[in-house]
Amino acid sequence: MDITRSVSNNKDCITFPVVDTYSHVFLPYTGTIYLDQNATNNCQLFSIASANAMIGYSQEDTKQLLNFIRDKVTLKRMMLIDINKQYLKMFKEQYGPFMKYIKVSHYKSSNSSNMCVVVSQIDPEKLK
Amino acid sequence: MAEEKNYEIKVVEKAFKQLDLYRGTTGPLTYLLVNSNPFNNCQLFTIGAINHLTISNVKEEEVKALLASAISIATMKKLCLLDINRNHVNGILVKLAPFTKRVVYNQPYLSTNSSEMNTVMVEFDLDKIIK
Repeated sequence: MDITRSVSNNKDCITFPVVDTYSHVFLPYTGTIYLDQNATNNCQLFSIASANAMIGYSQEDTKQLLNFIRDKVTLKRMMLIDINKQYLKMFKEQYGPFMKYIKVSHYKSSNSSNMCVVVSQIDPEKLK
Repeated sequence: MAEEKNYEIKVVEKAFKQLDLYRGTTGPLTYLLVNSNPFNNCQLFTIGAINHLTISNVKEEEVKALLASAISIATMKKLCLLDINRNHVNGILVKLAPFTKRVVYNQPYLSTNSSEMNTVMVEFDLDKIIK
């Protein structure tokens, strides 16, 4: 998988080909996630914006993506994302094998979307 | 005659919006870091370094002024995600209580350096802060 990095508005942008969430076929355009090293002023934690773009990849591509992300956040392990509830099951299936734990907090957003804040710890041993 | 304020809030442009709270002629008493769009979710923003509210002797009217500035930076969003050490959770929630509609959730987790942390989401009551 061809992953590239750029910087926009003081944030690391990670761009990669988009895969169809259900058929797992690569689509002819790219998706971008935005890394934030300091969203909550906690040195152990980084956050990802637009994390729903990370869903639908094979185990090998997921591993490559996580390694690329970790490299850009000074090898931090704790990841904070905010996703819609309908992506949660797919996120757990795809990223669960590489995590030590995943803690999910459900909430209803002010526009009535069912959302989840997910705090997870990446296990570096499983990414080797 | 309008009551004179003995504090001043300054916004410092950085990668994040930093709000410095000054009182009188002294140096910065405390600061908050406001991130208006950490997850590309248009309903949610984060405030970093909020534990400074408990460490510093910040009064209720100053908390209100800080929150009003933070919410103004975050384009009037109501939902705020905080990441707090467990020892500070109660102190911070007490400070924020007059301006909070509800605590949406309070989830503990163990950080990689073994700190006991909580992610706390609060819904601010804009009527009590802005008016």
